[in-house]
Amino acid sequence: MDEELLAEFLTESNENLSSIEDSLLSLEADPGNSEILGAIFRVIHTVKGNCGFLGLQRLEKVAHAGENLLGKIRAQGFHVDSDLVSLLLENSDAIKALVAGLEENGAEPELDFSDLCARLTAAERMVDSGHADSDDSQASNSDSESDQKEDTLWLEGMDENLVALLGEANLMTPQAVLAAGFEKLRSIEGVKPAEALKILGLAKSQKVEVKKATEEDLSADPLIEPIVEVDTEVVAETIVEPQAPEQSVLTGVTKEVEAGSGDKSEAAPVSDPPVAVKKEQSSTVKVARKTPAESSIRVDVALLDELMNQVGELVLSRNRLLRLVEQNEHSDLVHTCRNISQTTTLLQEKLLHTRMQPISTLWSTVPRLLRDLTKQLGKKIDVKMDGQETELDRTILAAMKDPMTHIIRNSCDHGIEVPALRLERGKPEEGVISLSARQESGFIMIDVKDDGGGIPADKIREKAVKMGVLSAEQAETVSDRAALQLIFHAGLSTAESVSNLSGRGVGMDVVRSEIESVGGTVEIDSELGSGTTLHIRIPLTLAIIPALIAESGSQHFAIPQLMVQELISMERNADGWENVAGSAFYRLRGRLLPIVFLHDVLSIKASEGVKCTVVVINVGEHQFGIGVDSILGAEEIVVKPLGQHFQHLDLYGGCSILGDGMVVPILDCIGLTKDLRQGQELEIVKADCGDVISAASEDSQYILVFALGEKWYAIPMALVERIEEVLSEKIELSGRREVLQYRDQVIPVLRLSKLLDVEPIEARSIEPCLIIADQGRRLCLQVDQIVDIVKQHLEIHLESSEECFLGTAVIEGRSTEVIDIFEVIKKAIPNWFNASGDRRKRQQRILYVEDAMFYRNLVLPALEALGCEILLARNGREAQEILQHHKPDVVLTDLEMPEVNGFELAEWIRNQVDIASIPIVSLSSLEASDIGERRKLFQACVKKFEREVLLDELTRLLGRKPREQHVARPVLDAKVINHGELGKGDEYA
Amino acid sequence: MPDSDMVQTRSRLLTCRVAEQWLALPVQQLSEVVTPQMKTVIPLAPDAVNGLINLRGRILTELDLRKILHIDIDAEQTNYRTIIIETDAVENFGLTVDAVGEVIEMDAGAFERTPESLEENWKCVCRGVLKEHKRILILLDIKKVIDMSMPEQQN
Repeated sequence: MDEELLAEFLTESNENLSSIEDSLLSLEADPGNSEILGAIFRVIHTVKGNCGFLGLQRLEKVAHAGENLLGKIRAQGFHVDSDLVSLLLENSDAIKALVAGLEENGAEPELDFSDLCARLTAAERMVDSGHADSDDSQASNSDSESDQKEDTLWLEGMDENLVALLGEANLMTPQAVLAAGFEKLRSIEGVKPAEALKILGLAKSQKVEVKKATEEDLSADPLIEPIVEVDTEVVAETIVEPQAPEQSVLTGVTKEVEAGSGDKSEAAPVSDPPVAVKKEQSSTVKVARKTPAESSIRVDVALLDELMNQVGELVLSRNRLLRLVEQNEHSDLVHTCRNISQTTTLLQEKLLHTRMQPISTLWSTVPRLLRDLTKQLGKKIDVKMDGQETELDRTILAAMKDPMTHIIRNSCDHGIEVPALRLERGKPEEGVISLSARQESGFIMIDVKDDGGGIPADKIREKAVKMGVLSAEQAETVSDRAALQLIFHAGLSTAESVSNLSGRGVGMDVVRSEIESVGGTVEIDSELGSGTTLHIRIPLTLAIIPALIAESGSQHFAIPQLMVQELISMERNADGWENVAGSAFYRLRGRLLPIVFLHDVLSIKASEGVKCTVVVINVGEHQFGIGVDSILGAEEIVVKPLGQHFQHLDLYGGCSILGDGMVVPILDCIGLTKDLRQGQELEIVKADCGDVISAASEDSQYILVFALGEKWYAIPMALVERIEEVLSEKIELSGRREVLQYRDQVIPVLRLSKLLDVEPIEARSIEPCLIIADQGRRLCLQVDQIVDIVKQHLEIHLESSEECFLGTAVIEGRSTEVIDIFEVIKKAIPNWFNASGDRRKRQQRILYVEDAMFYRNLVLPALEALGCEILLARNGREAQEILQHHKPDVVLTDLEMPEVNGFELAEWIRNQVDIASIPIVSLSSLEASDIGERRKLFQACVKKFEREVLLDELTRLLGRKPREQHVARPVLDAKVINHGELGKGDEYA
Repeated sequence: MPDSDMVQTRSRLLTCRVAEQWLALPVQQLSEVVTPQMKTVIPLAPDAVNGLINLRGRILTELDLRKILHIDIDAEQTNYRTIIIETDAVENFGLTVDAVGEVIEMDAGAFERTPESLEENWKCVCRGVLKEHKRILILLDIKKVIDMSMPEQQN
C-alpha cells in the first residue's frame, strides 16, 4: 500500500469523521434537515470510496453498510429517530475504531463488526418498507434524466475545476476513470495524487453501488455472486496496470451492469430530484469554505514539536548570548544581540501559538458523551459551553481529555438528579452542565458546573472518619469547604451505590493527579441542593516558562514563576516564625503560612547564613512557603524532561540549561508541597477561615511602605510598575538632572528625600528605586528603604495641607504619610505628564489600518523606517478596539475596508472625547473628487504608492523636522505589534 | 542486547579501565568520549548518578561506573573520562570510567564465557571475557550496566 496515500487518507478521514458526531446529533434534533443528512452521507461515502481503493475491506464493509442506510434515509426522506441515530453513531464509532487501528499499526485491526452491519442492513430494510410506495412516481419521472445526470453526479462534492479537467481528459464516467487507472489520472495536469485517489475511489464505489443493485435484483440466482467478486478483482488489476486485453473484459462487465441498472430505476437514488437540488447547495457551501482552507496548510504535529524543540534551543543560546554580551562595551554587538533576542521572543510566541488548539476540540466529545450517559441513566441533561475558543497547548489539551470525561461522567451520575426528583425539588426537568473556560494571568481556568443536588459535606465527613482520614474531632471542626476537598482523597466517592459509570474504582483522586501532572490544580465547590462546581486551573503551555532561579545549600534550582505569589526576604530568627506540631509556619500578614525548607526536603546541607527567602506559592487557593537561601534572578527556561533515573522523584518537574550553561533542575511545587498539603490541609483551611474575615473589607488595596530617613511614607502599589535595586553608579548625570538607563529608555531619577526636604540617610552603593510608569513613560523614584507591601484599606485620617501629601494613614500601627505622587512629579518635572512636552523622549506610535495584506507589506517597511512603533489593524473595527486602549500619535487608514471603513472610522474617532484630536491620514486609491466633502475628516489624504508624500506628511504630523529628500534611514528598533497581541494587556501602553 | 552482534565475525570495541580492571564496550553503542564536564548534582538522585551534564545543549544523566559496580571512589581521580552511551533506547547517558584505552577489532568468537570465579558485581554486567597475554578484558553488557544504575524501586 502506498504509504503517502494511506497517510493522506487517514488525515482526511480523521478530519471528516471528527465532525460526524456533531452532525448526527444535530440531525437528531432536526430530523428533516436534508443538508445535514447530505453532509453525513458524503463523509461516509468518501471514506468508503477511498478505502475501496486502498483495499481496506473491513472498513469498506462497515462504511458501506452505513452508507446504504444513509442513502436509503436520504432517498426516502425518512425522518430519523433516536434509535436510528444511535445505530449511526455506533457505525461512526466503528469506522473511527478501524481508522484509529489503521493509523497505529498501518494495517486494519482485527475487529468484527458483522453484527453491526447486520443491524444496519436490517434498519435499511425497515426504512425502505416504511416508505415503500411514497416515492415511486417521482422515481419514474426522473428516469429519463438519469442518463445524463449520472455523468457528473457521481463526482458530487468534487472541485469543479477537477470535474472540468476530467471532462477534458474524456473521463466523465466512473467506467472511463476506472479504465484509465491511477497512473493516467495522476498524469493529468492539475490533478493531485490525493485527488486522483479520491476520483478513483468514487468511481469504484459508484460501480460497486450499481453492481450491488444488480446483485440485489438477481439475488435469487446464487451464481451471480462469485462472478461479481471476480469482477472486482479484475477492476482492481485494471487500475494498477491498464492493459488493452483487460480493458475489453471491463467493458463487458460495464455493459452488463448498465443493463442491470436500467431495469430498476429506484436502485439509483442519485437521480431523485431533491438530491439534485441538494447538490447545488452543497457546491455553494464548498465554495464559501474554500477561502480559509487556502490560507492555511496542514502541518505534521511531529514537525511542530521538532520546531518547538529547536526554538527552545534557540532560546537557550539566546540567554547564553545575552549573558556573554552583558559585560561587552561594543555597541553594535549589543544592538545586534538585542535584535536577535527580540526576534527569538517573537518567534517563540508565534510558535507557541501554532501549537495552541481551542478547547472546543476537547469539548466536542461532550454532547455525544452526554447523549450516551443520559440514555443509560434515564436523566435529561443539556450542556452549555462558554469560551470554547480559549486556546491551550496541544499537549495539555491531550492530557486533559481523560479527567474531563471523568468529571462529566461524575456530574451526570452523581450530580444531576433523575427528572422526577428534580421536579419534586422545583427544578426544571432537564439538568444543565455548563462548561466555561477563560484565560487568566497565564493560566486557563475551566469551570465545570452542574445544577444537581450538590454534595453533602456531612456525608464526606462521615466517610472520611470511617476511612480514618479524619479523626472525629477534626471532622467536627473542619469547614464544609475543606471537607469537600477531601473528595479528591483516594477512596472517597460519594455515590451511595456504585454504578457502572463512575464508580469503577477511578476516583476523583485520579482526576486530581492527572490535572496536577500538567501543572494544574483542581478544587471543588458545592452547594447542597443547587449544584456543584469544579474549578480547574491549568497553565497555558509547558514548553518555555519564566522561572525564578533560587539557591539553597549552594545549589541552584528553578521555580516556575506561574506558581509564585510573592517572595519574602527575612532572617531565620525573625519574629514571625512559629512552630506548630513540629512543622514550621511563618506568620504572614496575620495568617499562618506553612513553610517547607528546600534543604530539608532534598536532604542537602543547609547554608549557615541567617538570611533566607520564602517563596510563597499558590496551589489552588492555598498558599505555601518554600524556604530557600536566596533568589538569584529570573530567566526564561526551556523545560526538558529528566531521565529515567529521576522518575520516582516527584519534586522535580524537569530540568533546563541556564544562560551560563549550567544544568538546573526545575522544582515541581505541587510535588514538593505534597506532604505539607496532605498533613496540614485542615490546619490551613482553618487558617483560611480566619483570613476570610480579615480580608473581607473589599476596597483594601496594596500599599507600598517605604522609609525616608526615620519616617515612613506610603503610596498605592497600583502606581508602581516595579521595585528595583539600582547600583548608585548607574545613576548618571545628564545636564543638571539625574537619569537612569532602564529597559532601553533613559528615565529621569527623582530623589524623594530632596523633594520632600527630608534628611536622607547616607549614600549607599545600592539604592532602592520605585519605577513609576504612565502612558509608556517611566520615572524612577529613589527612596531610602523599602519597608513592606501591605494590603489594607487606605484610611486617610488627616487631610494634609501640604500639596505633596494626601494625608496620614495608620499602617501597621504607625502613622504614615501618604504621598500624592502626581503632585511630587509635577513639582519636579512640570512637563512629565504633558505628552507633547515629552514626545521626542518616547517612541511615537502610528496606528495603521489596512485590510489588504499586499499594501500592508508595502507600507510597513516605510513606516518602520520612521522609527515608530506601529499598531496594526485589519479593519476599522479592529482599529476601534485598539483605540480603546492606546492613543497613537497618528492614525493612517485605508478608506475601503470591510466591517468599518475608513470614513466611518475617522468619524468615530472625531466623536471620541479623548482621541478626537489625533491626526488622521487617509491612504487610498480614491481620487480627491471621490472623497469630496469628507476630506475635512483627515489631516492629509495620500494616494497609495506615493511613498515619499506619505512619509513627508507623517513626518510633519509627528512634529518632526522635515525629512532630507529621499534619504530614508532604516531604524532597526521599530517594533510591529499585531492586533492579536494587543489584547494581552497594556504592556505597550 | 541482540545476540546478532555476537554472531558478527568481527566487532570494534573500545577498551577502558575502572580501578585495575580493563573493560571493552562495543563501539556501536557509543558516540564519543569526553573530558570531565561541569555537572549539576541532583539531590535525592540514585547512588549511581553523578549528576546532569550539558553536552552541547543536550542534558544527559552522568552515571559513575565505579558507583554502579560498588567500587570505592578514588577521591584523587580528577582526570576521569565520560563515555557517551548511545544505544537504541530513548535516552542517552554519560558513563564515567577512570581511563580509556584504544579501539580494537576483535573476533566475537575470541571471547570466552563469563568465568564462575568472577566477582559477583562484575558477573552481572559481563558478557564474556577476553584473555590477552598481559590482561583480561571484560566485555560489558551496557543494558545491564544501565539497569543496575536504576533506583531500587524500579528494579
